[in-house]
Amino acid sequence: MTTVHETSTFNAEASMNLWLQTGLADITKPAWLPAYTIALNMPQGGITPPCFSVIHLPVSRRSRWQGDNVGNGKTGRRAASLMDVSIWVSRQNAAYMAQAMAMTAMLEGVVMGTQTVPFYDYWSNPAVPVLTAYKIVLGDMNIAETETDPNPDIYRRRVLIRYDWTVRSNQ
Amino acid sequence: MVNNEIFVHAEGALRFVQASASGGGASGARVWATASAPVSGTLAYVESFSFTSGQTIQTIMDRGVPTHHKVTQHDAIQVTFNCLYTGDFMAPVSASGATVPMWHLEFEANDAGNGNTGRYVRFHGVAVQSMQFTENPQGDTLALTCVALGMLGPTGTGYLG
Repeated sequence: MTTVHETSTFNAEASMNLWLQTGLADITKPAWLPAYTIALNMPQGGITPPCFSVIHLPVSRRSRWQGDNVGNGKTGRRAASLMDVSIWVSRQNAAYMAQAMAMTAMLEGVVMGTQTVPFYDYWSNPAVPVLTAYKIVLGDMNIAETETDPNPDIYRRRVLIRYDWTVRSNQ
Repeated sequence: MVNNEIFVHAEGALRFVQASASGGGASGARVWATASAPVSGTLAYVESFSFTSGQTIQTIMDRGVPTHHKVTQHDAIQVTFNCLYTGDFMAPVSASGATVPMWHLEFEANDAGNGNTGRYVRFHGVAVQSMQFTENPQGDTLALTCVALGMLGPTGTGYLG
């Protein structure tokens, strides 16, 4: 009987979501910035501006090591993904640009303060994930250009955060 | 042994076991004698591995004409590998006194095209000559240069694999 290893992509994405939510919540928001929402299930769940939305874009699972040996009897590869965070604001608010820039700065602050994100095991218990001994390493943060949204009310900024980790074979 | 397919990096494995300091009597540590309750394992995150064996050949002349060779010396085997630093890298051995801490190493090339067997090369009495640490964005590396007293292989069976 095998189970999926703690470093699975499932746990990686969930742990990154937890990190971002916790990091944003730790920031003391200025009074002029309205309460924001975080959408982790876009586009199915929709957005309510001002909003952070998160999706993950797996990039590669590179074979880098002799026999893919990664220790503790496991084989694995080096994984890279992009955390695609979009910031959505409504032009109905006169200060929509200030909102977008402030939310970008919040995101920037969270990323700049983090080098590694610990893995939480959601496979065993999604409600109360368990901290593991594995980690994700954060890489570059880039601001990506976006097309004008088809909804004229919406202004969007898009940020891509690269992250790497070692994904391992099943237990 | 059939030998129709190439071997690649992804099929390899490098394993170690603590060597006996005294080895096998008159033959020194050139034989596969392990330490008491030896620590063994597979080296992880190995990015490159190589070995070089050599011997000195003396060509014998007969009235100025080369007629045959003689092996006058077997060189020590140079073994090098680079791996990522994980913080729990094994010291070769913890032998004390005048003995030199040593590993035995075993390289396995998985021979999946031949009934999932393997090709093994064993290195006996391996001492670490140098260990170079480098910090890198994609993983800190250790570059090890080792010297072995002798080697055996390739063979169809392994001790560690």
